[in-house]
Amino acid sequence: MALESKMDRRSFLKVAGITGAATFGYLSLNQPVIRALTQGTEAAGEEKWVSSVCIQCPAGCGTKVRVVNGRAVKIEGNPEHPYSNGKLCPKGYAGLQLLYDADRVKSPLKRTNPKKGPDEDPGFMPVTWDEALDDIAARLKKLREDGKSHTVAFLSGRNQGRAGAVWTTFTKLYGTPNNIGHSSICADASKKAKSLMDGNDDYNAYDWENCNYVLNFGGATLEAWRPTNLMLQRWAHMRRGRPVRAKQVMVDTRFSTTAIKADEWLPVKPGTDGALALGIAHVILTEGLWDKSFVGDFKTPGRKFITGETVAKEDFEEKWTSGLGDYWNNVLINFTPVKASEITGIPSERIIRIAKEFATTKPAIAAGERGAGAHTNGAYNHMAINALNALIGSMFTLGGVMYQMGVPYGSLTLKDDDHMDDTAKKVDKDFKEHKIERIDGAKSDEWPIASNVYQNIPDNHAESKPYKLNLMFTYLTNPLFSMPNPQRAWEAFKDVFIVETSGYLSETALYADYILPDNYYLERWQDMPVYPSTGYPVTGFRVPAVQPVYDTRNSMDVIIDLGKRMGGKMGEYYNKLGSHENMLREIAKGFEKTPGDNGVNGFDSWADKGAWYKKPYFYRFINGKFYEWDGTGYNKEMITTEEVKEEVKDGKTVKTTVVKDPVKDKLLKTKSGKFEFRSSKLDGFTDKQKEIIKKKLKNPDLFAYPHYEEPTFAGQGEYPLFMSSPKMITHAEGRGANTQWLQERFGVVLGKGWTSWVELNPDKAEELGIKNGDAVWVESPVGKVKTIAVINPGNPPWIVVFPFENGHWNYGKYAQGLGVNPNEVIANLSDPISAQSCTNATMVKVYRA
Amino acid sequence: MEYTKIEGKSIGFYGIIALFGILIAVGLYEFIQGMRFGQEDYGTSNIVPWGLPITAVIFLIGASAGALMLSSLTYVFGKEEYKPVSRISIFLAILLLIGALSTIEGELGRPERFMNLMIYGPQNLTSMFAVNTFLYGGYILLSIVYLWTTFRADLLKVTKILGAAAAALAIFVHAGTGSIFGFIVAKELWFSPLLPVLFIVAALTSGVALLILILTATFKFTGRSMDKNLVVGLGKYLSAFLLLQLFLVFIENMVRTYGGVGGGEMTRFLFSGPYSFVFWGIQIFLGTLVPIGILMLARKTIVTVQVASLLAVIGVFAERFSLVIPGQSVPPQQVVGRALMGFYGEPAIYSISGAEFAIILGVIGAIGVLYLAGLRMIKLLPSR
Amino acid sequence: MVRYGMVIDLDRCVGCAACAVACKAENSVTASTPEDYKKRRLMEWNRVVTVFKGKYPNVSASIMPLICNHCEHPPCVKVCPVDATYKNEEGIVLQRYERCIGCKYCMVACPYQQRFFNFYDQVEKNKEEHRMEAEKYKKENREVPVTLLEIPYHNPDVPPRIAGIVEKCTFCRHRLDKAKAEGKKIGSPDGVEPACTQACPAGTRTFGDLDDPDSEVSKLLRSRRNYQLRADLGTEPQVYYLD
Repeated sequence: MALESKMDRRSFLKVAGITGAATFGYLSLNQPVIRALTQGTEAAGEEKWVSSVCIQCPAGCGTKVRVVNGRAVKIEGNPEHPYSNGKLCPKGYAGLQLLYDADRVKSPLKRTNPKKGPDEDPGFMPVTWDEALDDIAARLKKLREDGKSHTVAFLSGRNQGRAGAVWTTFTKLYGTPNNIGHSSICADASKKAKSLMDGNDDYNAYDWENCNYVLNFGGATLEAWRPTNLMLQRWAHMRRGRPVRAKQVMVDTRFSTTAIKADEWLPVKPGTDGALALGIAHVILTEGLWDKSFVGDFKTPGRKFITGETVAKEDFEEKWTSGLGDYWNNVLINFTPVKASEITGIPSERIIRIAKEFATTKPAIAAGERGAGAHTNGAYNHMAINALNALIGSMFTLGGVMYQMGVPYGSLTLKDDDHMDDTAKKVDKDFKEHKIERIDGAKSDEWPIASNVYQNIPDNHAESKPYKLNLMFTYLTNPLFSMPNPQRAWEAFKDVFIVETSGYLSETALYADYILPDNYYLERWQDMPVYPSTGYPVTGFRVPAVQPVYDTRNSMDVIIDLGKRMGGKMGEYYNKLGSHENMLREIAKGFEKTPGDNGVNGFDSWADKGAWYKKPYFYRFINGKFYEWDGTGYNKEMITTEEVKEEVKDGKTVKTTVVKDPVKDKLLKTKSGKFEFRSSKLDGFTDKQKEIIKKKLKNPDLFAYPHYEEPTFAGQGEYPLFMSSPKMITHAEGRGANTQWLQERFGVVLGKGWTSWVELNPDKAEELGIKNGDAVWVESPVGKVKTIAVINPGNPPWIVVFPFENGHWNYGKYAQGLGVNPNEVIANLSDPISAQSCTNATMVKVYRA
Repeated sequence: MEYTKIEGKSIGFYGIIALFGILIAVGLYEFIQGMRFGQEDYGTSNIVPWGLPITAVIFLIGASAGALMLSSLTYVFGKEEYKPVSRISIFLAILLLIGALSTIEGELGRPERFMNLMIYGPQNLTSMFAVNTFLYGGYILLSIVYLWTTFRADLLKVTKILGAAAAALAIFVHAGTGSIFGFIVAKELWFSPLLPVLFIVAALTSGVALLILILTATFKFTGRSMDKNLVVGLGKYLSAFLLLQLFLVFIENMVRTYGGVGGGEMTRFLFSGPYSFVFWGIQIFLGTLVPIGILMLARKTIVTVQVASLLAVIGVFAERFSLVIPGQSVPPQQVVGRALMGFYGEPAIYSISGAEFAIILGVIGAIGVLYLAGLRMIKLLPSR
Repeated sequence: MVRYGMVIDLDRCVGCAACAVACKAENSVTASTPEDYKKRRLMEWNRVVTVFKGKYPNVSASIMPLICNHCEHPPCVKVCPVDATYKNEEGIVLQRYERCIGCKYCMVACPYQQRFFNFYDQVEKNKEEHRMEAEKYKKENREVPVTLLEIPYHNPDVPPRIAGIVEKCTFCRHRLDKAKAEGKKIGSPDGVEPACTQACPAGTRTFGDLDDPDSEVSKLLRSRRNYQLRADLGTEPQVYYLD
């Protein structure tokens, strides 16, 4: 045949060889390396380093962003910023992926599908900024005309600095009391506890660098306690960075990263941290180990407190505290280590030893956060913990606790108060007189000292108590995801007109009627005062590193633009204000009077360096007295002065005595000017307020003291396991689910990525017939979700740990459909004093799927 | 003994070539996909980077070495009864090695850079891969010359010498292949001086078994009668090799049960992990014990030997598999005696992907086409 | 001669994985997808692992960062058939991306599992996935956003890796080369360091010249108990762990 005659071996090989070589040649020509070789190396680009501040948590760590040819290619810690010191936690570096996320909202969007629900497609269509803002302004004006301006709410998340101020002004001028932050689903229990005892409604700042002993109740130092980056640096410094190694004692319900690295881990039962603190306080007092210079002493020196024996007030002379006698007689008198042991599960010998170590190793700090706070007794737990700092004399000392100083910004020449029209003034007055309440009930008789009760908004709106919301703005917050039992919000918010500012398709964005996408932080100007930690004031500055990737605008400017369209006095204000950048320039003028330690004295130097700060912390308690910094040392004693003023009134000379107590003004801001073991603030509640709150307590007589309130758990009795829902170090405030770099190592310690999970103790898992990696259902009284089980050999058998991050409806292709949201099985309980949302107070059962 | 070419004009012949052609097309398609888009479709991972193709490579090299060593029976040891199959076994050895090299090529991340092996290989002769490149090259050249000399009756002495040299080189080649694994300190299941020996024995087993299968099939399809004694004789060799193989596998793994580095975690994984069925069920039982039983106890016919050979081939392939895959699956311990938590410590399960299977099919197709072409163009088979 | 090495202080390590993320950002290492992760194709030049011992209540755990050890007797260099992986005069084990044939022999040879294979070209895959969306922009004559074209945050100092080759930690070689060109000092505490060392908030890592008795790394090794990983295998790692 033809084939045989023409084709002989040699020519066959020849043809095959040439064909093969040609194929190879063709295919390899397309390879990028060869392309690069032929095109030559990329021309050296224009490179600059721009100051900014990371937004992945409230810490406010300054960053420097490397921008090459207009692209951000690396985010690093700013060496000039005292919280970064050139470092960042893992979340900071992942900002690049959030900036260049292809699934971001690319322009303002308007909803076309009127139905809202988890499975509804919003039918977003792009609109121009003018269309959107004009429509929203028209709606706002109409509500105002109808006398319903108070039914507009602003829900916010990460709004430190001027971002918060812009929202506050808008609500004030518009005429609504509903400027609602999210701190009740964060860690308000500790803040409120401090406000009740030393009058500071804030998180503590800590002098970690000089502290030698840390007793930590549920604050995940190495995971999500803010400011995370600085916490990690200080931890390492306390362990290896100085001659004296600090001892770290972790009180926690789970074997967290901090428990792994700590010297001792006290595995308490959930919600019993306060009992442990009380037991330790008992030991401190019975052993005579309290700090005499701060607390005071018995008139008979050497006398100690004795279990079961009351103490007469006259016998004890208090110095900077008040109510110690009452505290002992009513609460601590029989709260022995044995009793604490029965409640917490920690052996009493250990409690005694820890108490003695804690009181005698100076300086020591008792600290804590959500682990102890997110329970129905959270505020009381924190009051007991706070009391420890007072008892051992850590308040405002070297190596002790203090409060963050404010940044001396310049004030705005334009005063928003001057631009309140009659509607706004009326609403303000009605709110103060309790004629109108906030939608979340904060500051009402049920929640007199709460900053906000974010988690109750869906219920209140659904029941129209006090009224129904008509319009809701959301800024860097996601109520349909981040609060316990968000299913309530899925139902309740179906009829609210929502204006979302998120640049990502969050759950709330999918319910929104308008999305006005915000710039990512690398695309905008913003100031960022830091989260409390150093005590001395620090504020960072965001300079736009790149041009906006999409058609997004800084929400601050958007709100100002919206304000301009409101007309009237409100419009006047915003037209005069101009822009957000104007605000920043004005406040930066404050630095001319108080230049920072690194020379920052105005807008330009602030932008260049990226941080303004001024050391040191201004106050210190030394040897029984308070002192102020006078420029060279803590030399100026803070003493109470009396000034006699002479005035002429109606022809007569009147003498008035003005008492100035600097300690009361600046540090111990209570009614008595002392650290109060019996809170005068709680005593000062109206009878109505007391009645409502005492009904929620099991020990209502001890209402004004730190005491052990037995915690309540949803599902108690029917569901066998406690559940803790912590945040991991890779959890960027609920905004990290769409970054690959954080998701692929989400559970750093357990080696788990791209998944959600529940942690089980190995024995408990065996009992339930669950193996590592099995699919399981987690069920609670409010819902059930399916996820995988992971064995954590360290956790106690009575607890299930369910970290929070995943379970999004969208939020980008990497987050969509990944994992489940633990909030869907957490019941909505709140601490009665602080309104802290009790995310650790639901009991669950876990079984194979 | 007279050798002829086959006519190779029947429909059956072209049919089989067409079939193999389809397989080649499938393999080529997957190969080109791999070159353009990367090996994403494969079943391999960063823990188990070597999968089915590497298993097939070492199997084919082994079969090739075994077949070549078998040809030396005739020319070196002078066993005339194996003369009918002598030439074809050399030819098959060459083809199987070419097949192995093609599979390597298909397995490489950047196949177009294979010339780097020749250019830079000599710079790093501690690498068994580099050494093997030259061993395989020399092996093919030597085998071609060896085959050529078998055509020349006057070069009988040369044939003998070349035969001995080829057999020796075959041993080195496959010991070299075994050393690829045997020199790797990181893998507990591989790091053993016995591995090259084990490989040679497995080569002999698979070579003989594969030869039996291919030759009996070829003779049948080309209308030649196969001498029963020849086949049974080969079967005897097969049973000897199988016994030796069983012994070596037993020794190797027996030692490890006494505890290895880190508590013998990798060995435990092999014995009772997800691949234990491949090890116990296919390699040991089906692939070694059953063929031994058949060859020793059943009636000695061509069919029983064929069945035993088929099982032996499967067994050797399973042996390669249970060496390569479970050997990599368990991540090596960093803190000896303690497993890493989660993702980093869990064994990686490798499953065969369609893409890799396609490459193997392509290679089988290529070997098949070349074999049939060779039968028609070269006087390999004894005349009827 | 300079011999670069690293000292990792396990007492300081807090298990945050900032080093892992910083490394990915600095070296533009391919980011994984859930599918990649399931297939065990995660590429992490730097990783943080935990080993547990015991269980509640008698439990302890160790958190440790793992990195290529830049061994003195590297098994990977021994087995590379094309000499694509090599140890340079400064003691860093590097990879010649343009020579690697992707045989993956070095990957099985490394006892520390620190070599990674590019199963796909990240840039090309990204472009492919976003091609259709980019078409929409082109049709409307609008500028295609940079996120749909490539990986915008790719570090221009680092070569892109194509599919089919193996990569590994380079001790941020590009940073060290830049430092040499600019005459800057190299090594902790005040010189140029690899990204992981610079990034660690706890100051866990120290980088420097092990042959220089005055370098920070040498001082640390003299002052504290230290060990190497799997020293029994004879690889002689140049990454030391402090107890």
